[in-house]
Amino acid sequence: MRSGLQLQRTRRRWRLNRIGGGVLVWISFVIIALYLLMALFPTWFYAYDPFAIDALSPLQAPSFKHIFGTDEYGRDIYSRIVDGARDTIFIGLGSAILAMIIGVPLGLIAGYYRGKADSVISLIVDGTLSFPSMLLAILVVSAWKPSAITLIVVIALVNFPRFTMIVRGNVLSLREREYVMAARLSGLSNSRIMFAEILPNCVTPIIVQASLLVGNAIVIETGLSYLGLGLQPPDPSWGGMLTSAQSYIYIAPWYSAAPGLAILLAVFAVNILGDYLSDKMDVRRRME
Amino acid sequence: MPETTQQIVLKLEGISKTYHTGRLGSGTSLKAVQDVNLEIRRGEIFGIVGESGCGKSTVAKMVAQLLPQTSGTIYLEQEPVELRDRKKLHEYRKKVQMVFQDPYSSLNPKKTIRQSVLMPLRSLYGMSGREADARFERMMELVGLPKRLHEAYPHEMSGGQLQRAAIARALIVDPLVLIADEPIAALDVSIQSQVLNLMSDLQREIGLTILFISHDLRVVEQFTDRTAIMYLGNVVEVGETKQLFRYPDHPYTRALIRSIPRLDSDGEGHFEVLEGEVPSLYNIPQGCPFHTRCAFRTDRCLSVKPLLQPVGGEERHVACHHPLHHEAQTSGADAG
Amino acid sequence: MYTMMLNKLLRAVLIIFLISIVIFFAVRMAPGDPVMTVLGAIGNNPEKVELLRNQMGLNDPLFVQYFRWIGGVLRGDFGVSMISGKPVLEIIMSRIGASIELIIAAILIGLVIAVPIGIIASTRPGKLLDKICTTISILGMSTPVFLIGLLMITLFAVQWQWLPASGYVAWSEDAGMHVKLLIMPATALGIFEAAVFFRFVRNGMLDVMREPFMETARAKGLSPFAIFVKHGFRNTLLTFMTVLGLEIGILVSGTVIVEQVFSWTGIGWLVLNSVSTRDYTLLQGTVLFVSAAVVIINLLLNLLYAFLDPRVKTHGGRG
Ligand SMILES: Nc1ncnc2c1ncn2[C@@H]1O[C@H](COP(=O)(O)OP(=O)(O)OP(=O)(O)O)[C@@H](O)[C@H]1O
Ligand code: SF4
Ligand SMILES: [Mg+2]
Repeated sequence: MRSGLQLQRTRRRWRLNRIGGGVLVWISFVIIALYLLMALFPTWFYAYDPFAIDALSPLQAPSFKHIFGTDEYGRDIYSRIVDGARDTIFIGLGSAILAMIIGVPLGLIAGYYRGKADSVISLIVDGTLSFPSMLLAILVVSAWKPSAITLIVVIALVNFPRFTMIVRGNVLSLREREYVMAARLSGLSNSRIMFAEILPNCVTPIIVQASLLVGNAIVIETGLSYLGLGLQPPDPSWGGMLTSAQSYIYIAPWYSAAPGLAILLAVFAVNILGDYLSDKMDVRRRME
Repeated sequence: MPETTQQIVLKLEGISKTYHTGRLGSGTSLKAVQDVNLEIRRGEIFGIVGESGCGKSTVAKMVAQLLPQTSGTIYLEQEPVELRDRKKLHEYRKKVQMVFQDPYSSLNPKKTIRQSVLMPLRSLYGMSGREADARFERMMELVGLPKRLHEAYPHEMSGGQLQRAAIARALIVDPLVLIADEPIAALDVSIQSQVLNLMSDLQREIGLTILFISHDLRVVEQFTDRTAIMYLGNVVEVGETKQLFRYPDHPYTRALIRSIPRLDSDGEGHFEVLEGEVPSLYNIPQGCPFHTRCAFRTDRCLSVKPLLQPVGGEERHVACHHPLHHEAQTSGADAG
Repeated sequence: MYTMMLNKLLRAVLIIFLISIVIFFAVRMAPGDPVMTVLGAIGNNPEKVELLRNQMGLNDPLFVQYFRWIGGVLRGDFGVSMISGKPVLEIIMSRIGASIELIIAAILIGLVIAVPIGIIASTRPGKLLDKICTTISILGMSTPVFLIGLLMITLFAVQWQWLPASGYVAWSEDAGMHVKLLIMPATALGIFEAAVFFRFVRNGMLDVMREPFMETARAKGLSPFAIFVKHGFRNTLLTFMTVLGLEIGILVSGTVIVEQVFSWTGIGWLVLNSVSTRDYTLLQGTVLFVSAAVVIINLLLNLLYAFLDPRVKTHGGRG
């Protein structure tokens, strides 16, 4: 047992080194925590009112007063980034959770019942995965109103198959475990077995996948809002700020820096975290 | 009580299992178990032996109704068992329980021993609270698991302890029949006999019927009352264990027994090796399934499949056109 | 082998069918049926609108309309644009060349970046160079293409003014300008792809290196690159096809955005243009066309894979 723990520890250290040291993981944690705080308590972070128009100072370059400058209406870009965090983070989290709610049961059913159910579900999964997700998102958002709900649903719909695939694979191996047979012998119903016996044993891969999907959701959401299909102004959105920045790119080339960095850091931090978690899970699986 | 010990608890009639592998249409089928007929008597320990892959676990799973049989009927106390009817299946589960080979994966890693052991009681009898706890304590005492392990998680326990917990879980609903599929194969040798003793105590004390599956002939010989020998999905011989081991009637049984290393009265150890390879289940030989390796084979064996039939009285059944021993057995073996 | 091919073909057809259902009903079931709304906005004369509706069969039940639509598509008739009145297929065909050109250029750029770096990183796995490359690839995969695009515009068009910021000029009009305009979108998309390719090249190389024939080859004194060219080529080709199959959907998604960033008037630009003009028949037709193309490309890659990989062949041949 002790040697096993030691092995785990050395392996983990090695893996962390591979992706640039534990420092990177810690930085990612901090970034994510900051974003969550911004989303929940934006007022803590405001330098100015993000909606306060100042017609006298539009498109000001970064300065001590406005660390990321001002936009075309003279609004403080930094404060607008803070305010935009809420939508991006909540849509990212919300769509990952909804994708989980759709994808995980489908994966459980496909893996547990196999046969026809599996064929049908696999077809849906293959179909969705081969579909260019941006196209579906554009189509749906343009037909339905681009509200937070629409965005969450659309992003969840293009992403849920990833949960289904991961869970299905895990269930296929877990269903042959003897405790699952014992549960059947105990008279548990199939749904109880899937949700109470098998599901708790695939939590780790689900969490890893969820963290990766939050990153993916942020990419899609900011992409849509860059295309003008995100939440509508005057609510600030990181993608929408980039669109404005592009129209003033010759006058104010620094405009895109803040929203660009905001997006990049969010996605990068989430991906580093996902990579870290999946390595950790990998170690544990090898240990078993 | 000769009458009650003769009473048949469980009867398998023409049980077969065909696995289909690969995709629909392009797949192949594998006959894992063919036309098995067995009668298990109340209160006995009945062994099933055979080489790896001969279908022992498949039989066990079908008896436990974890796997639907392709054909055939199982009778519990003369009643045919129906897998489809959920209520009847529940009644069946109250009476037939099972422990598995690998104790390490027998218990859900995310649940405590108490949760796992109480599970059948809760969902089959809807029992919980003080009554269930009392039963739980009694079960733990019966299988010899100390109090400190009641709330433990599987990873905190040894293989032997886990197997005891698995036995407790199977027995907490007070079943008639316990199926044990290689229950000691994954355990340390030192712990194997403890678990065996526990089961044999249970059989004696609570009149449990045990279907004991193993590939270890010595354990079966020492532990069971009657034994069935399986080969390539077929039962080739059934009989009272001591008699069967002393006077095997089927050439395969004899070969198996001779392959056990043992010390003779002159103190020399010897054993024989069964020659030839086990044919693939995808390609079971015509006629007698054993004919590719049998020294007593005749032309008849190549074309006509021998059925399991009584030989020399009702106790012994053999599936062979040329059973070996029964004359010698009926003339002078009853001394044993 | 043939049953497997037939199976894959059937699956592809089914998937396209399912996608068409989603495309049709996702739009038509939206609140206030956008198609109707747009028609209402076009005609200011209610009678004329009614006439148009009848002409387009919009008063029939939705599923009848669906089957009419999909029936037309099967005959090569994707309907007509609600705005310009031109056949949808004709509009698609006039734009598709630009997108294919962009995608191929992006794949080539992605390979040019990823293959050498992947091979170098794989020669010393776990060493500093490998770690740096791997971290950069996570960064690359994390960066949305529109960010890469904007950064490139800022640097190469605004700051240093090496290249035009955006636009499209036909090859026949001004070949030099065409290439200049292609460089940035293709590179933006290529960098994004390179991050993905890099991981496959690196891990694929590590696998090949572990093969027994590598030992013998190394014993003979061949350099890693020579070994790779000699032995790893077939494997690499197979891997590349798999990656491409997995990536093609993502690549198309990226193209849609990149075309918007650089105003490269291909299919992606067409899609977004039809969104802003609310030309739903054009939008539905284009999305269906592109999705079906992606599924078919995937199918072809799959079949080609089965054809090239001996293992798949024997496996499938048993049935
Ligand atoms: N789910 C399944 N699908 C296909 N074939 C199976 C399946 N389960 C078992 N088999 C095959 O059926 C045959 C009998 O398997 P079974 O597990 O019953 O053998 P066994 O006698 O218990 O062997 P062992 O001593 O190895 O446990 C084997 O050849 C096995 O490969
Ligand atoms: S039937 Fe024939 S081949 Fe089979 S065991 Fe008996 S003697 Fe041997
Ligand atoms: Mg077995």
